[in-house]
Amino acid sequence: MDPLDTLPEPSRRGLLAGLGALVVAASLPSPAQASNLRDYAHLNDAANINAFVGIASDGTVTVLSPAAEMGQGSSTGLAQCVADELDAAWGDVKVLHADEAKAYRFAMIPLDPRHMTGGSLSIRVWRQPMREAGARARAMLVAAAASRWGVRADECTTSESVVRHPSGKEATYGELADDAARQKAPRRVRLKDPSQFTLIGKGVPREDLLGKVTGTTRYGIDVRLPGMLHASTRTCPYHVGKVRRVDAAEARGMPGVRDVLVFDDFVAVVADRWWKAEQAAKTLTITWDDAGHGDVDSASISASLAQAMSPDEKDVYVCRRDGKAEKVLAAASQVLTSTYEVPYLDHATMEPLNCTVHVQADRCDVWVGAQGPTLVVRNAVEITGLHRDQIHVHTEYLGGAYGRKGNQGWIQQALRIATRVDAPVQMLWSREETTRLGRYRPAMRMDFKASVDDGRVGAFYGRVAGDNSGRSYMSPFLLRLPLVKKFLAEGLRGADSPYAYDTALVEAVPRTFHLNVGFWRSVNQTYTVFGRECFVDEIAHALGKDPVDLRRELLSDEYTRLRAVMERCVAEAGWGDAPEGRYQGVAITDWGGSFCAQVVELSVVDDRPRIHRLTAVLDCGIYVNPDQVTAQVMGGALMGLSAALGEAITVEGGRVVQSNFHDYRLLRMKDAPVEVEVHLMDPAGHPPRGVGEPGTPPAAPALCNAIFAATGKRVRTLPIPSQLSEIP
Amino acid sequence: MTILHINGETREVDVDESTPLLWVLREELDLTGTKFGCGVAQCGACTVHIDGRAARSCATPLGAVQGREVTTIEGLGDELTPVQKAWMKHSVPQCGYCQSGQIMTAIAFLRHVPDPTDEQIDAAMSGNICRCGTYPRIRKAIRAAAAELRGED
Repeated sequence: MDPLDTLPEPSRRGLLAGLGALVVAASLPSPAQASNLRDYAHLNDAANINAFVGIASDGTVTVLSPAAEMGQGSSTGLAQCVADELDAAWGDVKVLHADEAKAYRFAMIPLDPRHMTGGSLSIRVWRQPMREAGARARAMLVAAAASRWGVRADECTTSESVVRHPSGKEATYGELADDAARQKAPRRVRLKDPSQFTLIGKGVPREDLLGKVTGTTRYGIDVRLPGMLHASTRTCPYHVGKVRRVDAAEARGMPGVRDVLVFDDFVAVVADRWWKAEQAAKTLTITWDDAGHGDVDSASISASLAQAMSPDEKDVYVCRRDGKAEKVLAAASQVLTSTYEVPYLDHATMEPLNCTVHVQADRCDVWVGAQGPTLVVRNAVEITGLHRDQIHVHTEYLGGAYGRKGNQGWIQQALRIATRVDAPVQMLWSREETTRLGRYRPAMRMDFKASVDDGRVGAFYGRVAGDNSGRSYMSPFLLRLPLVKKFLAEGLRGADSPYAYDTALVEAVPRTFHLNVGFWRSVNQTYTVFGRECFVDEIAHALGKDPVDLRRELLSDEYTRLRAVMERCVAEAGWGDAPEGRYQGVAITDWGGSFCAQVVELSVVDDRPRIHRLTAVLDCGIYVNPDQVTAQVMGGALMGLSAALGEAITVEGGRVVQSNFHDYRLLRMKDAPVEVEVHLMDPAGHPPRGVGEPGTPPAAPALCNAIFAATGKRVRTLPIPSQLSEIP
Repeated sequence: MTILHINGETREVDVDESTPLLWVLREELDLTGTKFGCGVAQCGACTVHIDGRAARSCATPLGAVQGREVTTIEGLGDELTPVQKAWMKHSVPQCGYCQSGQIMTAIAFLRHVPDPTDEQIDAAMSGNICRCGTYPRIRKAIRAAAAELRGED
């Protein structure tokens, strides 16, 4: 059973008892006009505040979303869950990010409940609690109406934010909100049968759509506070090094500059405007201590990974062993051998990293678009020395995250600056800082072997070497566990690879480099599924089999849903039936119980791939908003294509070479697939699984397999050369 | 003091004329709908209209817009434009951060090319990066908005 199915219920304390608090709050003078603080920010201090929903006397239904909205649409999906059970009119619903609080924590990390967003978990974790919150609110509104009219509650019906009685009486939710808040919250509520859903399962428009087409949605970078100062930084480009010497004389004399703050690993210029701070930062002369990493470059990292493939390598962890693959390989007359290699990748969120902090004697406020509010509190406690109850974290909309904003190095930096500034201060990283201080998907190498005697795969061998993308999230104790070492081969291990080979051996060899690493959308599957799915394609070619046919043979029996997803995908894509001059490639994956298959169809134009169609099929079990699921699969796939076609962080002299979008090349519209089709499988009652990430892993291998079909050339190193004829 | 004609108003700003328009908008005028993405005219998040043409405000010094009409996403009017409506109908935004720039580029483009081919759309929009991968929906929205603007909707 998935541990997440047994999550602790969020605190029910005072659930919905706070309806009145919100109603009252709506009439309080709002600090919003003065400072553009949200008008609910102070409400979480109220002891009886409802955790998830409130109704104001004007009928506005406010949903407090525990999930940070970074584009994935969870804020909409969760609001649908509340509004459906509440029978609220969708137009009345407003969504706000919940400030950090106990009610929004869950234990993604065992024994360590946190308010956080990540792992494609939001709908999985919060769908049911949000439905219950909506149902409780509805019950209290009905009870209020029944008592007002002297009728039985069970005679009343609700729809579109109105309670009705057969006698003809009716009242809007806004009219009833005050009375409803005084009702006792029911201990148990009956949830709707799925056949009664009016919003769940429907592609209703995103709650943030209007704001995002009118430029009024507020991201972290848009926070404005009275008297706020701005900081621009220069951070150690060796990631783990220190500041040795700083010449800041010129910067200090520049217009608007209030201070130049020197920390052990970065320098911050504080000014009345960010542009001025940034101009002054450009004049800083800083000598860095490279912490002994000054001669590391991409070639030396690659050489280290090559060394990890040696039979003499000692630090080897066996991740999968079915039979004696080594023996079968040694005895085989035909063995296919391939090496796959991928570079560091940056998340490259369009919103450069920023964080606004105001440290005062008795409180610290943090406004930030981050994936982990609880971790922000912990960082703030550590850095400011204040008590956790004095820390107030306000989550803003995130201009992209993709895993980047789960790590909080930049927030720690902003907090450290703020402890030395007597005003609210917004730290904003330039694009150059954002690019060079990433938490990159690590550079990885995979060596594969397969015996292909007698027209079938006898043995599969794989070894994965590289850095652990999760290491900055883990304690030294955890990092020593073999289980954690084997994480490198996620997607190739027995339990998470869908292919049943007669014999198989998969090994992981950890290598640590000084560059910061982190979780990049779909984490280790970004490389393991690329290698696995391209190598299966190689095997098919060696055996003279159709790549889909070979997958049909190799797929384990228990992967019936993945098999169905693949069959649907090849049918929708017209597999094997591409128009003249077009070529297809396929790839599939099991992403933690979500299943995704993709077919890329391309032609070669001017020695470049032109992707005409990308067909994707997803089975994620029960979903809430099919339009947003579709968008996630499309976006996830395009992110995979982007990485394959152009993205690489490289290292020279211990520093990251890339600095901006001219040398960290993201997918642009002219290279994006002309048509993207996403098909969702019928959930068939399967529990909800992840949506934000499963679309990413299959895209790169499907693309590279199509390139092989078109050119006969096998891409084994990413990114794909800008001219296909340059593929070795 | 520099006189700025912005969104139909005349504003005075007291900053150095070399300051990029983007930072005048965001830090002097509180018009935060225009976004900072790269600072070097590579991503298009900061796109505004200068005399009706799309321009990257991060690479446009304040001094260069003297006497010219600047329009930001906030200045498109109280009614949604056909491009914005199409963006909503096709549910384009995800994180949404790049979308002000995408919309400003698309509006200026359709003014000059009312009946674009797919190649023209690609060429016009490829200066605007979307990391969330909304390009297929942007294409559809532009085609839909173009049809509506031509009265074919």
